[in-house]
Amino acid sequence: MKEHIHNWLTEKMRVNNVLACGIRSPDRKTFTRSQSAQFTPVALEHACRCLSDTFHVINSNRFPAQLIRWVYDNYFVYGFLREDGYCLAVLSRRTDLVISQSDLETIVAEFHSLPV
Amino acid sequence: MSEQTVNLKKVLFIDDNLQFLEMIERLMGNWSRGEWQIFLAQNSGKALLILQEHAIDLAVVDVQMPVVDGIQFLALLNRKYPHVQKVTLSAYADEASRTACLSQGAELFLEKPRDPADLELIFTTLRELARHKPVATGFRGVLRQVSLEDVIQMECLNRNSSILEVNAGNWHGKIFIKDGSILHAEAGGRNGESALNKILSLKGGEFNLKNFVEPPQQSIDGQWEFLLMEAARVRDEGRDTEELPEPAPPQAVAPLPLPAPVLKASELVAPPVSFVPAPISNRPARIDEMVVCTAKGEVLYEWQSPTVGDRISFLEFLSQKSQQLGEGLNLGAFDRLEMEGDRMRVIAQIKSDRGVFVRATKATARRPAETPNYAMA
Repeated sequence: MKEHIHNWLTEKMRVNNVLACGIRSPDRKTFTRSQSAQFTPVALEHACRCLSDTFHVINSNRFPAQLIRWVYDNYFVYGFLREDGYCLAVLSRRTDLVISQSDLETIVAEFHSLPV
Repeated sequence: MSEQTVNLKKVLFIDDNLQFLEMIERLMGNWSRGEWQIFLAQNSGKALLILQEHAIDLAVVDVQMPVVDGIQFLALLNRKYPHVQKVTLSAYADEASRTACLSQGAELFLEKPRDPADLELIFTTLRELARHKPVATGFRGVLRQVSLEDVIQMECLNRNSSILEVNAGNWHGKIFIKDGSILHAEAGGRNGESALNKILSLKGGEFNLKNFVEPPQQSIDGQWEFLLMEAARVRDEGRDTEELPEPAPPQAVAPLPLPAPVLKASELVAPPVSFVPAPISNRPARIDEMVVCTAKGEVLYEWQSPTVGDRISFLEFLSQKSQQLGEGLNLGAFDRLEMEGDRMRVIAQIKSDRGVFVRATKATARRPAETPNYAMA
């Protein structure tokens, strides 16, 4: 159990307007946190897997993307990929109560230096 | 119909190893406690027959199969039966195979079990997947239709015996295949290669694979590879298409606005949103490539795309993944995926009637505020 990853995700849930987040490791372990019953652990785990699959296919298509954003009617799902294969998913609203740009940058910078 | 019958899940396993299939049937049959009806196929030809006769919910495909391997079969399955959930099993779970399987529509890529305990874990995973019924709407699975050549090739490669019945409006044709050889074809009063060429020149229609019965005569004698090549040559030359009834023309599509060579990528497809964070930047970008296709994968507009087929496959993958992601979290309708690298940006948009793929190179002059460290490779 990587307690510090859980702790870091818990801490990120205090950032304004982060609805849920999760990390998936290259060995397919997933850690998730959510502040809404709408985003269950099972659904978030599934979302992290979708994200990881998408990065795989993106790279196989030779798009060297380190970050992606899924745009739905009312939500953004951000995905960030580290060079060691760890993925981070962050969920926010699209139209209002969005995560601020600086908060998002801080989250991603911390994720990239998060020890695993 | 009883409730038990309604909830019965039809699960098809495709593997060339008969012992493995028999073990699956015995163990998973017990574990499923009557929830599953299990079908077994040792090759892709038999699997196609089963898929045609039964409403399969879940197909579990071995990646390493002789003649037509699991990835090739998965591609065919994804096009012809898009709403069947698909899982691949592989003894060699390398990343290349995993990526290929996911690209071709597999929901899961699993390592082949080495002992019964692992198999039970796989059963639990499959049972959860089988309980989840995918939503049969949207772009998914309606992209490219499987071609007649695909099916003939697969039947011949597998040395199968079958009859391929083809219907286009009031027009009917049949191709008889025995032990992987094309024996006879009949269509519109013609027999032999002439009929085969006619059938293969159709641009639309339906076909069904039937169990083999002996044809009234043997009108074709030649290797199937050459027969298909000859049919393709005849079709390309347009020599044998004039008398055939064509299917209804596709719905007219309004002309699409063509992109100017240089635009801001964010202005192309994405409607304005109230918030654009730094990771998905607004830096000016030059369009390098663009593909617009219908929901059936027909190319409406292509500009400088080196591999249109790959882009359409990517849109197909995206359509499937976006539905999976959206359904699980209840996010509403999907609009687009934005992908950002150090120097490139890609936007892939999925709508009910079209898919759009745009790749752009970002301007080289960087402003520090727009290029955070984490975006650098």
